[in-house]
Amino acid sequence: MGLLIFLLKAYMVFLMLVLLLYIVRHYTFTLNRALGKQRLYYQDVLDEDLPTVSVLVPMHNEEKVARHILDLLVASDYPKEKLEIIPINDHSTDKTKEILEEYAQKYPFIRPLHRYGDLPRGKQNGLNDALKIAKGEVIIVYDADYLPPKGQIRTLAIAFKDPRVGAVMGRVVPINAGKNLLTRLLDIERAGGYQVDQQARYNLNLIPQYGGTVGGFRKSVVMELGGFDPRILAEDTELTYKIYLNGYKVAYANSAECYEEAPEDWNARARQLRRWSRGHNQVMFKYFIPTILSKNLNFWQKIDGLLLLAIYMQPFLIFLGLLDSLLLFFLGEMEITSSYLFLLFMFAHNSFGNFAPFFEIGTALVLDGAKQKVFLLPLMFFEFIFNIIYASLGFFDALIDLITKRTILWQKTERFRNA
Amino acid sequence: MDSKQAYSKIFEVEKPVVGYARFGRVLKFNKYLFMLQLALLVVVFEFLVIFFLEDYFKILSDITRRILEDSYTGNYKFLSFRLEYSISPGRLPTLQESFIYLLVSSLSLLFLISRFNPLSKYISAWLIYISFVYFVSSFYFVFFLDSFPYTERDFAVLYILQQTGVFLFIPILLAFSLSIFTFSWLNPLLNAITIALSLTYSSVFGGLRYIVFAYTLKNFSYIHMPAMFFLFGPLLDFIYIVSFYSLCLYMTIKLFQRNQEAFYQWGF
Amino acid sequence: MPEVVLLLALFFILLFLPFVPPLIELLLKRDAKPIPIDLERKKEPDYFGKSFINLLATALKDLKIQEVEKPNPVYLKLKLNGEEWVGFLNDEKLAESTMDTPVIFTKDTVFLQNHKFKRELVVLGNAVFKNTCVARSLYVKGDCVIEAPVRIARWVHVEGTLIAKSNADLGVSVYAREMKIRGWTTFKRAYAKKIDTSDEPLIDKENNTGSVINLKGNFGITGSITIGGKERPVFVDGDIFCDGAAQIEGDVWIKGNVFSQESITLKDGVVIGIEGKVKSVVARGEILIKGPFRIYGYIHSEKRVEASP
Repeated sequence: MGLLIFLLKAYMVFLMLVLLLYIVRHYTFTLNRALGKQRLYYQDVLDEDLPTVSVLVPMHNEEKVARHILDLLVASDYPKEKLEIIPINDHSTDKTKEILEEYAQKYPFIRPLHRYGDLPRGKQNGLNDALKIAKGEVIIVYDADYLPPKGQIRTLAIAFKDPRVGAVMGRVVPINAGKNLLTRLLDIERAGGYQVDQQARYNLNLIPQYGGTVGGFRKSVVMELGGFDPRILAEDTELTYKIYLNGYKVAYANSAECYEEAPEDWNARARQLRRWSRGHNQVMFKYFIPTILSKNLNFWQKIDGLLLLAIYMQPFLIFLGLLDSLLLFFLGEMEITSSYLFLLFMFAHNSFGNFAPFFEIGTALVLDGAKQKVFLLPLMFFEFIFNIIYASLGFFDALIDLITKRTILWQKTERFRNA
Repeated sequence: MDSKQAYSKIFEVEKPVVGYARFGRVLKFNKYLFMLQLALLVVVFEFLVIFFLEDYFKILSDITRRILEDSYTGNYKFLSFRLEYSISPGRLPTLQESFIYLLVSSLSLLFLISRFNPLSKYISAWLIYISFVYFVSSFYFVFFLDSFPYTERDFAVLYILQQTGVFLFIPILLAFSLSIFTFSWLNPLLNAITIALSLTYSSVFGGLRYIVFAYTLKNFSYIHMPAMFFLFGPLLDFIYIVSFYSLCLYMTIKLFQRNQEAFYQWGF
Repeated sequence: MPEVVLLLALFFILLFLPFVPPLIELLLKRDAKPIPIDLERKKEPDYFGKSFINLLATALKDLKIQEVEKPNPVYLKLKLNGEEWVGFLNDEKLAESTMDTPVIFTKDTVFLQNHKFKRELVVLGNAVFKNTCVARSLYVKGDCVIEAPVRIARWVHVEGTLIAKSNADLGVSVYAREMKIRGWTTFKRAYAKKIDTSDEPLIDKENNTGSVINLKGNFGITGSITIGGKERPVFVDGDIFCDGAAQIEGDVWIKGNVFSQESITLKDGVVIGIEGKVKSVVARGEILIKGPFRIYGYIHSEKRVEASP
């Protein structure tokens, strides 16, 4: 019994330290973004010798949104002789195919890839097939619900003039921010995650993340590294680590802002969160040790890399912490825990909300010029247990994937926009 | 260089009034003000907390004694403090009570995780958590009633420790979060007011909470004790702390919004 | 008992009170819109001048402007950013020493007197500045020659050639077909098919019979870099991206872009880019150009560019 109590208390101390580490990390990012010298991105490099670009747009039953993104991509100011657009029609059963064929007829640089039959479903599989036919040196990926501005492809592609850049990521902004409680929370969390967190990681030469959309990568590097692993749901996170471990970098373009559609329904959000957590934890299992051993990362990049890998494991650790505390409570060992319980919840909250704490989000909102939006911060409370449950479920899913090596069934986020 | 300086002085300088784009702007920062207000806010408010800690619990104890019949008073030695508390005797739940709670919490859990649950998932998540805590608690009291390690006195001590933790943490958390804003000398004032309001709110809310909990333990048994710490404990303190933080942020923005240049500078 | 009920009620009030402001915002949606993103946004080095002239052209579209022959300024109320008076002059002498409105000179103009134009200055012809001049912004339809100290606060747009023979502070953004810097000049960014500080032929126009150091490829440098072409010319057929400062001097021809997170120094014979193509020099810190220099394209500094022949 003594040993059990010791282990339970030791776990509490361990958890406090881990959460404290995350708090310090996020506070450092907040200070750096709010007050520090910012790292210049490449948007001001004007160069006539632009790389050839293939824009990939994975689509599965995207009839509601397909036209919007294709119209905007057609309007892009990127030289058309250096641009091709490959919408990847992945087993769509609605009018997606017809819409893509209509655009392909009108525009020679739009070349849809239709995937049906026995071809395995999923974004990674679609991307892998598209990479075989893509002619561009640079691949830019947009999810189908995104609305890229005219000059954005150029903004993203120019980064690849720097030979160290393996991937680039822009800033995601929910267009349906004002719809309901969920979209409002996601809007402020995205602000914290991109305006502060990603930019700070870029400033500090740490590990900004390639997010799989409003972003791009160097085709030769990805092909050399074997493309996307179809067993890993978070292909974007995996690419980030592959890139860094092989000596390249991810450039974060805070000026490359793009509208997306955030989930408007808690069920959709639950599925999305669980999938992200599962994918991210799959990457964690695969890259934790290689990150530690990598010769291409400096000490701080390794620390940041490991903390980033474990970010979707945090909810599970906190869940264990709650169980641990309950156990200690019933074993009569609450005294030591009581004074720390506050810290547990505080740190847990601080580490939460799309993994940006309240002061990071508050700072992002001030930088964005928000006013009444700052009042929404206490509502993040409502996500607390929700996030723990679904992210923990994702962690379990990843654990089972690791043990059983089962096949992944791809699931897409539901669209809410009217066509 | 002299000729260049002289040259610049010949002409009036018109500052280009172009708003700083949000991708590259940073906050105007005065590092001395940042360090000064961080140090002052933490030191002053921690001192106040420590100074009034004994008095706070004494007052709370007095009020509790007046509200709760048959309460008794005790003292807890915490470091060099003697913290007074008053509490009335609690009671263990009966087997019947425990069983009812176990049944209700089990059924709730089953319903909430089933596909027949029509509630929104974020509400369900909270209800699952509440049900889970009560499930664990009632399960324990059904099977291990005699092993329950706490009395109402223990509860009082645990609550004191928890509340003290909250008081000590508020100035640190808010000072670090708000000291970033150094637009003018008004910021330390706003930040100090925010911390003061938070501590005041915490005092009143914490005191109320204690009395409500003590009443519950006396009349509704110890079966609710885990919920007091794991549901209605520091988890709730977070809400008003962040609420005051957001209020302070809003006031800061409002005060300076007429002149955006007061906030921002270029970050490169 | 009633006291407990009251306390219980107070407890729940205080519990839910922090949610009141967010719930009000949730219901009223005073700040519910996403941050505005301009879907038409793209990088345009001539954005300011082009926008202003388009604004002016739109405002003048419905008006018939006769040739201004009388020796008097003509003022028209036009809708630019708001409704405002705009002065149309055909002679520099008609302009007062300080002008508060946007001013448009309808033909070639030589500025012999000291002027302060607090708003935009437009010359629909060639412009020569022979006396000190301050303006908020400058648009010239033809060529522009600066022979006296000139200070522009915001932008300069010259459709022809901009020749700065005297000290010139050209503000934030400069656009010209060609830019010749022959005096001490400062700005933040400048775009032209060719920007140079000297007429003499530089390394890209010379026949290099001697030994040359050839570097091919794009370079990503974690620290600083110094490239010296004093002893032997250096050709870099690619781009240079560095985290530290870049110091390039002598007979160095970089055919690609130069990008630095710190400062860039270009001295005594450096050439950037290839004639007919646009390349860039971009720095987070200062860019110092001294001595003979040429770039085909764009110079951009987040701090300041200082160039002198």
